[in-house]
Amino acid sequence: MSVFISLWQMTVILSAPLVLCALGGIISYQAGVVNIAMEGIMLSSCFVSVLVSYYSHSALLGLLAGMLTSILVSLFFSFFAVTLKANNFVIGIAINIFVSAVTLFLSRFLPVAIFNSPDIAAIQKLNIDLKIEVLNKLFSGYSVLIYLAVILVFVIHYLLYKTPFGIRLRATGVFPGAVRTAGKNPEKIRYLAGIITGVLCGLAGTQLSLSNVVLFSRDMTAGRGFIAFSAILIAGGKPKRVFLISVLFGFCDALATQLKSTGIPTNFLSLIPYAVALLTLILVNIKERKTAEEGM
Amino acid sequence: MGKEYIQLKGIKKTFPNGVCALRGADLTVHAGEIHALVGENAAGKSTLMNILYGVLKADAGEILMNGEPVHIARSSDAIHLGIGMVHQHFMLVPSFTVLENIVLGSEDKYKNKFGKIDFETARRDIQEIMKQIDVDLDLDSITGSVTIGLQSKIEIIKALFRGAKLLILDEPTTVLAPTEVDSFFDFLRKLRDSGTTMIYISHRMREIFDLTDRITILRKGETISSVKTKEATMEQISRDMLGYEVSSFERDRKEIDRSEGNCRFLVENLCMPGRRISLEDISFQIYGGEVLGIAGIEGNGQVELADALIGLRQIQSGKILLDGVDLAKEDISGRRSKKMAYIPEDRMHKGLAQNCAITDNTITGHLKEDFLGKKKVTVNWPKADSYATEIAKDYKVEGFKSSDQLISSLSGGNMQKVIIGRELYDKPAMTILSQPTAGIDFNAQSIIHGKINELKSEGCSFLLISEDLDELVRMSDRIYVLCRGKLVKEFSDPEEFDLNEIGYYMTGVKKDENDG
Repeated sequence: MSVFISLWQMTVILSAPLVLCALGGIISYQAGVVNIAMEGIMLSSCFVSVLVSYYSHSALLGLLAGMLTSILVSLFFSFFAVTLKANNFVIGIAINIFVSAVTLFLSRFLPVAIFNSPDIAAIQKLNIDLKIEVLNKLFSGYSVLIYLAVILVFVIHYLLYKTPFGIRLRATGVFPGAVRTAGKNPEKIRYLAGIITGVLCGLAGTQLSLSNVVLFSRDMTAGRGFIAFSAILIAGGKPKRVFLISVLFGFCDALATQLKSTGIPTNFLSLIPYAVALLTLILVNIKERKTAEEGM
Repeated sequence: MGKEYIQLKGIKKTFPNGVCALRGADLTVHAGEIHALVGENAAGKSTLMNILYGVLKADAGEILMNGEPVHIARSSDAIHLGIGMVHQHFMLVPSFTVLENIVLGSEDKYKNKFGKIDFETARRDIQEIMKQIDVDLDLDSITGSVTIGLQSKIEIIKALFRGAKLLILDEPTTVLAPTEVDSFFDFLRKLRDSGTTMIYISHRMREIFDLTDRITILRKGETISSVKTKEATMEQISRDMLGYEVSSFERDRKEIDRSEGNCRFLVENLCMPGRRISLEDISFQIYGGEVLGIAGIEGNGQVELADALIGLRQIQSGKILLDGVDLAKEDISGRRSKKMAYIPEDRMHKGLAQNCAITDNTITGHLKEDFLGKKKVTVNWPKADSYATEIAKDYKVEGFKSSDQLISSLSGGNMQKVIIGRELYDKPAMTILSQPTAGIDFNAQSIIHGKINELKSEGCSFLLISEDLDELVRMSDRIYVLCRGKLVKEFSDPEEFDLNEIGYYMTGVKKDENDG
């Protein structure tokens, strides 16, 4: 039982940054922007959150600063991708490398002690008393951002499919010409999408560096931006599906962590989430092809 | 006829690349009329309409609405003034429902206090509009899955829903089947009678005379004349469009020798399965000096057929014989060396390399022995250039200054002349023409048709795949209808080509007797 509970808790914690990041990525995806810069956007937030939290002793300030940084990096991406119409992949990779290098440089430049100092304020945990001990263990005591992530799944769904902004955004992704002739500006919509992606990747980064662990280390996002990206592709950009796929990846990550005590080599275990991502992508693709052929 | 509704006065526009599209064009549209705007391809029709719709900004001139000057800087201004535009290529999101597509652009008006779009109110309003103009549409179907004919109506309903009182229709019938055109015109007339004013861009004479109330003719960026349709004649309109008289040629009524000995090109039981559409059991023969027309609605296998015949796609079974030699196993260059030629439907991508010079485009794949230097390694450029120049002269390519200018500096019609000049230079035995004059102005079209007829009289054979029925009927000696990858009907007597009858087979309303 306790194994199950700790696996559950681990899944929740490890899924959270993936869910937040993927939800942010959905907005760009639906606007027709291939945002593979999420890795870098998230990492910038990890770094700044820790730094600001250390100096201000306030997790909230850390969170806001992290989010703001993410928005700026995301807008930087948008400027190249939308205004200058650069190749999304090239500029995405460039930003990932750039953020990785800058954060590494600054973390060496500043006193090392800052980045794993006990003075870094962590994100508040929410304790809800559910009267039953098991339920408390399963659903209580997580960071505020984790509860927020779940709510955001529905918010993003509502935004995309129910609101005027959502319909414009989705039309921009498929057929910008239709939006332009409707008298609206698709570029503006893509910039707004970039900001929303920045906000959510910012939250993801803060969750990672001020809650999952309370420190900053080099390249600590460890490919989560890409995992989130593949979750978006697998789910076709639909928020609820993206949530489920992200949790599946989170679960694999948790499983790998749990299995470490069994003596299976760690390096092999940490392969699991990525292998599962790859496998799901292949399976989904095969299935889509089949349905496409049957539809003909 | 109502009073003057929209007036464009002295509109001038020069593009940043130096092309002067409008040199002071005028247009007066009266309330409640269907006003035809005609002209050759580069006459400036689209530019003028894009200025009215706020997509482009005029360098000079003014726009009056009901006598008052108005300022249109962007499309949203035009929409506010009640101007709607239906583009030649529909601006519909294929994955959206019909309802979502119509609401797109008006979504802010239907926002409730939770920031949610009130689709039910929107639906009622749309149904109200549809009732007025007597259209019935399932608003919940996916837009990409409804017919093109319906999509054109969706575009118009979308504009009306945004409050359009004036509709600009940019060659709306290019994508429609002949049977759809009639019902579409009835729909437009009903729309006019309910008070909507329309500007109708087209260069199809029959449609203009059939539908419109007044005609304004543009030529080289200037307004030449504006006349009531009732008082106009076709000769006068085409003279004003071109600036000179055209002698419309008659088809060569010479009998084709259809004896077995004169059969040049033979296709037998050709099958080619495909993801989008499969070719099934295609058989036909083409005789020397004959043009065989293939009619069909876009997407019924025309592209696949052309690709199969020239060798761009591998066929599964069947024979392709040219003068008795089976070409089915040959690749493209093999087939070309057996004197086959191909004019692809997509001239921009398949037919030409946009960033290359005219000479490059004329010699690529057509490099003849005598264009090479002494050692047969280097290209003898002066010779190649003179060859390109010869084609340009022969086909009266407009805008041709020198053979090393970029092909992309020519207009669409003139690019097509270059392609056709290149392909027909060696008088190929068998040429596949895929939409050879789509989107090309009258003048270029008649030059191209003249060349085809010239080669035809020398014994060359052609397969003409076209969506333009007028062209098919005028040029072909026989016509086959291609529907869902099958040849469903043969019309073998040019005297009895009947547009409606062909249309019925194209849309699948009628099937061949033998087909059950």
